[in-house]
Amino acid sequence: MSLAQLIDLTKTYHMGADIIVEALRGVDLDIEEGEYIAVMGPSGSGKSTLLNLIGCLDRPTGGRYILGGQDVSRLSDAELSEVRGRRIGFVFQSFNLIPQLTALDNIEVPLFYQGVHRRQRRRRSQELADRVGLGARARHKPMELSGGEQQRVAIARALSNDPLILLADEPTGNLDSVTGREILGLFDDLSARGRTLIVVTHDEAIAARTHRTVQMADGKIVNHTSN
Amino acid sequence: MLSFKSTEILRLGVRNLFVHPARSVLTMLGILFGVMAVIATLAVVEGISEKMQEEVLRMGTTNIIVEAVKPTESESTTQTQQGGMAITYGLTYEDAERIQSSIQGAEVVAPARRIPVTARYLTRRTRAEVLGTVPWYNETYGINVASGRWLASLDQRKVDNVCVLGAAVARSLFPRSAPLGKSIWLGSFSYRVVGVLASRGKTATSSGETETDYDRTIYIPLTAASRRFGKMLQDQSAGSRSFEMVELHEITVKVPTAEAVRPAARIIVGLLEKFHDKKDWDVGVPLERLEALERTKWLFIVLGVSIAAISLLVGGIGIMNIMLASVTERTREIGIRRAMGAKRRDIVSQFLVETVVLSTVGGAIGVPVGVTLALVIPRLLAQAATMLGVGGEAALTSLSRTIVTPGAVVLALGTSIMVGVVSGVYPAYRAAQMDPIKALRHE
Ligand SMILES: Nc1ncnc2c1ncn2[C@@H]1O[C@H](COP(=O)(O)OP(=O)(O)OP(=O)(O)O)[C@@H](O)[C@H]1O
Ligand SMILES: [Mg+2]
Repeated sequence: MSLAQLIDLTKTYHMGADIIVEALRGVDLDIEEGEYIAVMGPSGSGKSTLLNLIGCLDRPTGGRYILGGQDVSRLSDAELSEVRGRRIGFVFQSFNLIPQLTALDNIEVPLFYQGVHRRQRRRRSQELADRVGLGARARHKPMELSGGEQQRVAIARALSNDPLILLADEPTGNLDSVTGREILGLFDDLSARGRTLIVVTHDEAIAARTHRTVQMADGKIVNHTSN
Repeated sequence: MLSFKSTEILRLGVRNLFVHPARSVLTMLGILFGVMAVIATLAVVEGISEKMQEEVLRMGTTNIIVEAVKPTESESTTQTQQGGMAITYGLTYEDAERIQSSIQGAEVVAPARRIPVTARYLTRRTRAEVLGTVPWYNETYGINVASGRWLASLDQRKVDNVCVLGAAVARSLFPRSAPLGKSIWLGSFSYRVVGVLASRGKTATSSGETETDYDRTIYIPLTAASRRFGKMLQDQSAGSRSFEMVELHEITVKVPTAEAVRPAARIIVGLLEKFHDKKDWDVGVPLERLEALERTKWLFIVLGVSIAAISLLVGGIGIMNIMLASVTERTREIGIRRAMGAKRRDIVSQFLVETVVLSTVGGAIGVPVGVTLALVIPRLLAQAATMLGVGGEAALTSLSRTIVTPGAVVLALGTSIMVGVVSGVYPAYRAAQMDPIKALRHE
């Protein structure tokens, strides 16, 4: 059985009384363990909406979503939070680090809500900071870090709870090409170690490094390409 | 597990407060002043009420005090041979006897006369009030003798010229020597000092308007008072020559229990109404004053606490205002935390902890500040009184003491914690209700 299954997933936004936005209009997708998938498509095609649903940040309007054998499409808010905290890792285009926390503290945020003990958290965050190549910068606050370093912190944070899937929405969108390539190098590494990754991108070169590209348009998957 | 997470959330809350130290301190000040106000107000109320209570207790809760009251003019004035006016009024020995025989279980009935005099010893003079009374008067009022003895039955029977001095009178007449055994002049008669009383301080009379200074009183046997001073008293304060004829100024009735006070007072009033054709008497019941005092105290407490509550309310609004701003400011952080697995209730507790820590710390600092304020209030008022002069001093002496009760501290702290919870609930709820996706996109 696959790691995650999306069956005829739809997402509709109601804007006011009679304006309806159909962000997703029936998406079917199977994600296998260890897969590295790129999601591409024009702006407004529903890529972020799809990623948010996979990441359990939101509930689908219709269809089913089975993650790790569990139907998560109708879970309560608290249950969804639990699933996010235990099984999902997020990396955002704008890093989304908490400014008043140091890099290490930021890395520990998911573990905090899992009730992991302080000492254990510190050990784990230190290990992850080393793994993403932060080194001595780990004790600094986000403001004192470069974009590339911030994104490394974000990746370490996404890995802290050892998630089933790591989701990244345009992770190199705010970085220069050299730094972007370094971050992508990290992703390649993770994939090589068997991590399941889904990356939303506009960049063909990035897509080319993945196992499979999912092409979206107008709220639907219009094409699958194996790379 | 839960307690572990709670301490973690507490740590997080405290850390967040340190992100904006100035803001946190300013927010805290609102609560600090509120708590300070609660404690100081309650201390003042408690101090006044305790002092008044002491005064009433000094008059004895099982005592009924019947006093002679000068009736309104014209009613009872008669022309005297000297051309002055004479007023006859007040209580009589008959009244005392009637009361004694009508009230069962009346332990003591202590009649007394008050006569203003100038007391002399050698060249020294002092204003004093002679109180002619019976030997059991001291039991009724719990008067303590510092040296020598109190009036005895024998003095009464022999109509002896002996006296017991109040502490202040003794000090004025005998600044250096020992008064016992010396003779002092009261009017045209000399009296031997047999005892000196312990100082009692000022006290209010049962009518509550005038202040009698126990310490400025000279006690002599009632028999001696009637014989030497007669029934006639010359009113020296009046410009014209007027005379007052008073047999007894005061009759104190002591009953065995507090329950017996009210029925006895009713009987006394009945007797006096029957045998006096004019209202030249007043029945004072210290117990009733005590109860009235208790009610007044609550009124003051409610008033004071309301004022303090308003300042705490303002403090609470301050906290809520800051927290709402903080929630908006930290929208993105909330989105991040939610994406990382924080449940709604984690967000609620995070913000609630911040407000509760703010208000509790504000309250905890406010308590010692309030206590200190309560301690210096009497001194400040004393200074203010001396600057105001005599009148101010008299008005402010009842504020000579403030009392901080543990109850007041608990109330103030409890309220401050509650203010933290109440003012935090709405901002925390707002934070928790945010859509994580929108919060993450927030600029
Ligand atoms: N909260 C929302 N309320 C209303 N409409 C929304 C909301 N979120 C997304 N949409 C709409 O859904 C559609 C898909 O949006 P989505 O963000 O998934 O696009 P995208 O493919 O990620 O685009 P981009 O490449 O610009 O990020 C868009 O038309 C968008 O306006
Ligand atoms: Mg997008």
